[in-house]
Order: sequence, then C-alpha cells, then structure tokens
Amino acid sequence: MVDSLRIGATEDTPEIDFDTTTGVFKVTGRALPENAHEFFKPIEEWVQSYVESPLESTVVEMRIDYFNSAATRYIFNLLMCFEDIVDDGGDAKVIWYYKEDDDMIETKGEELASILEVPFEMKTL
Amino acid sequence: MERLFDYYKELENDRLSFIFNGDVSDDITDGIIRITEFNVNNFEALNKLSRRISFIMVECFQNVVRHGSKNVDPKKDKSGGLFAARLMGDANYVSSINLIDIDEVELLREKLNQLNSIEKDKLKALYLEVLNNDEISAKGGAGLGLIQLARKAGQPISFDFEDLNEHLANFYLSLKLTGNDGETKPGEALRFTKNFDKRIKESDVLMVYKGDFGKDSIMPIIHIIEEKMRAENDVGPKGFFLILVELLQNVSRHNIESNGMKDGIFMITEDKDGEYWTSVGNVVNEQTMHVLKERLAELNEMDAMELKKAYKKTLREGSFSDKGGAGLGLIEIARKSSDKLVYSFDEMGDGKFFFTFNVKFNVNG
Repeated sequence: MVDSLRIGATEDTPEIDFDTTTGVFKVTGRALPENAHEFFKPIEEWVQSYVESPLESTVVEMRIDYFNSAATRYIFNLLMCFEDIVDDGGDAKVIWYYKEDDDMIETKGEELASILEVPFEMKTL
Repeated sequence: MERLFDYYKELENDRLSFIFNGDVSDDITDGIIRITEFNVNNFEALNKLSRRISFIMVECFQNVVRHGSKNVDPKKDKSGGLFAARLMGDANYVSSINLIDIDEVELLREKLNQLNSIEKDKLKALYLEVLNNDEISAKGGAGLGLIQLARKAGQPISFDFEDLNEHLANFYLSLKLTGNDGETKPGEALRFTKNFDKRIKESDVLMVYKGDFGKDSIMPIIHIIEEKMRAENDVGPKGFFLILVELLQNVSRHNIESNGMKDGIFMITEDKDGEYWTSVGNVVNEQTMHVLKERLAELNEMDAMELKKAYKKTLREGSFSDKGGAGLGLIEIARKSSDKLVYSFDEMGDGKFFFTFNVKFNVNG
C-alpha cells in the first residue's frame, strides 16, 4: 500500500488529503494554478500507482470553490484514473460538493459526471 | 470606450502602472504591496528605490482609505477615490485622490505646507515629537503618515484641493521620485495626476494594470479584484472572477517574454449601460497571431450548444500544452462571455502585433 498523500493548500492550489488508511481522498479549496501540469502531474502519478492495488473502497470528495480551465482538465484526468478501479470490479466513487446557490460549481460537476465513467454523486454543502 | 492599445502605447515604457479608480479599502493594501514588490525587485533601475517606493505607495494608498469622507454618496459624488502609481525607473509617480469633508481642508493644507517648508533633517525630530504626543486622530492616523511620506520622498509633496460641493472637496496628493535624486519641478507631479485622473474618469475606467503577468504578479491582482467584488457584493461575481483568471493567465501563456518579464496590460471599464468590459492586451509574434485569429473566429461562429460540445471534446481528447494549459481557456471564456468575443491585432513593426481581447460580462446574470 502506498503512503497517504498530503499537500497543503496555497492561494492558487487546493489541499490534497488522500488518506490510505481510510480510503477517503479529499480535494479542498481553489484550483487556479497557471501551470496546472506542475501541480497535478505528481498527484496523478501517485493515483496511478494507488489504483494498481486499491483499498476495498475509495471515496473521492471534491470540495472546490474555484477553478480555472487548466485545472479542470487535470481534475478530469485525475478522476478518470479511478475508472480503473471500477473497471477491475472494485469500489470507487466521486462525491462532488457544491453550495446550493453556486450554479457554476454545480454545472461543472454535472459536465464532469456526464463524461466520466465512475460513480458520481452530487451533494450540496 | 477607450482603446487598450492607446493606453498601452502611452504606458509602454512603464515597468509598472497601476491605477485604481473608485473606493478603496484596507483589504487590498497587501495586494498592492505584493504587486509592487515583484515588479520593483526585478527591475534594476528601481532597486535602489524599491523600499522607498513600496513605502510611499502604501502610505499614499492608506491615505485614501483613512481620509476618505464618510459622507460620500457613491452614486451622486462620482469623483470618488483614485490611486495611481507609474514606475518608469528615472521618474516614478505615486498619487492619490480622495474626497474629504470640506472643513478638514484648511487643517490639511496647513499641515502639508508646514511639512514642505521644514528642512529634511528636521522632519525626523518632528516625527518623534508627534509620535510621543497622545493626540492620535480618530481616523487612525496621527499625522505620522504625512510626515513619513515627506521624509521618504525627499521632495516636497504636491497637493491641491478642489471643492466639489458645499460639503466635500477633492484632495489631490502626488509625489515624484527620481532615480538620481534630482529636484523635480514644483507642481509637475500634480499636473500629471490631474490629467490622468480626468482621462480615467471620462472613459469610465475602473482599473488599469500594466506590468508583469507572471504568476507572482497575477495572483495579487486577482486577490485585489476579488476583495473589491466582495466589498460591493455584486450578484454573480464568480463568473466574472473566473473570466478574469482565464484572461490574465492567457496573457501569461501567449507572451513574448523579455528580461524575465511577461509584459502586458489589463483594464476594466464600465460602459454606459452598466456592463463591465475586461480588456487584456499583450505583444505577440506573427505565428501566435495567426493561431489566435483562427481559433477566436471559430469560437465566435459557435452557439452555446456547440461551445459546450467543443468544451467536452477538448476535456476528453485535447492535448496538454507545454505551458501547463489545456486548450480550454478560450472556450471557457467564450462560454462565460455574455456576447461574442471582441478582439483586434495592431501591427507594431518587427513582426510584432498587439493583441487586444475584450470580453463583456453582464454582472447581473
């Protein structure tokens, strides 16, 4: 089992808390990095090695208040990695949190849900 | 609406220009310090002046915050605050304009005249004297700000008052800092400020930033605008905010970098119908111009459904660029903009073109 992954939030990148003792993976905050590659690539690599031997159940909790287009693309890619778990018969799902009056984050979640092949739940905060 | 290219040509040799028109609050002081620090620290001609400039910018700015009249009706008294800084290296201007209560005018005039007539080495003594005096004004200042300003500037402070109505007056404050400590002509800084102020207000410019567009500069700008929007509690600021982020980062990505700086200009204006326009501009080479032209024309042909389709397609299949972008920025801007994209390319010679990108955003939905 890979070690948990924790990265503190900055003013333009979210907090990453992927806990491999509980299987709850949290992305919290704002994602506005100019160079999204720099930030997300190592995380994606970590997830790729995680999905090779995942826990019995994995829940990805997304609580993002802002993100730019570059981050959207990388978040999509990151979430797509979890499709592998489902493909192999494992249990993984994404919970997309949004504030009730926040149409933008809600729409973004719906868009991602419509093109991702991993169980995707929308929840209000 | 003023053309961004005209502003750019005027400010082209500025290392940093920052103009903020409207009410300001203490919340954005931090952002102003950060923008200044980055631009100043990476510019040799300003290195020696850097600490003084940062200091003077903050004092001037806080002067607008602190001495602004509480009796201002923002709708009626349109000539509210203005904060402007233009750093060119040899000549650097920092100015503020704010409305004050008319009965404060004489006291301020007296104070400023006194400061301007005191010899430089006696200012410190005055500073210490006021510091030890208990009479601190209710506005949070003790006159110390102005004394410090006079000390750091090493030049007389230019100032003026103009009555706006029977209760309020405009207070103009302006400083010129030179790289070589030469004397400046009396009134020069003030004339400069007044002309600029007139132009800004006539064209309903809310904010202009000209300078570096790298990450260290963009984040503080974003922070400032966010604070400003929060203060005004506009409906739907989130969409506006995200367009801003995309536009600013777009300038950074498609840029001819020179001297470690990604130069560009950014302006927010309000048109007659109360709609906000965000304009960004920067210099691009011919190849980039062709790529952008083609892409923008394509996007303008698409309706909302087609844009959504293009967005999803790029999300699934699009290639990642080596600049850390994802080819989604322009589509996202087109989707959030309340109108077709307005852009232009002006030829500058040497195979260079000035790219202007205007996006209208309807804040009320």
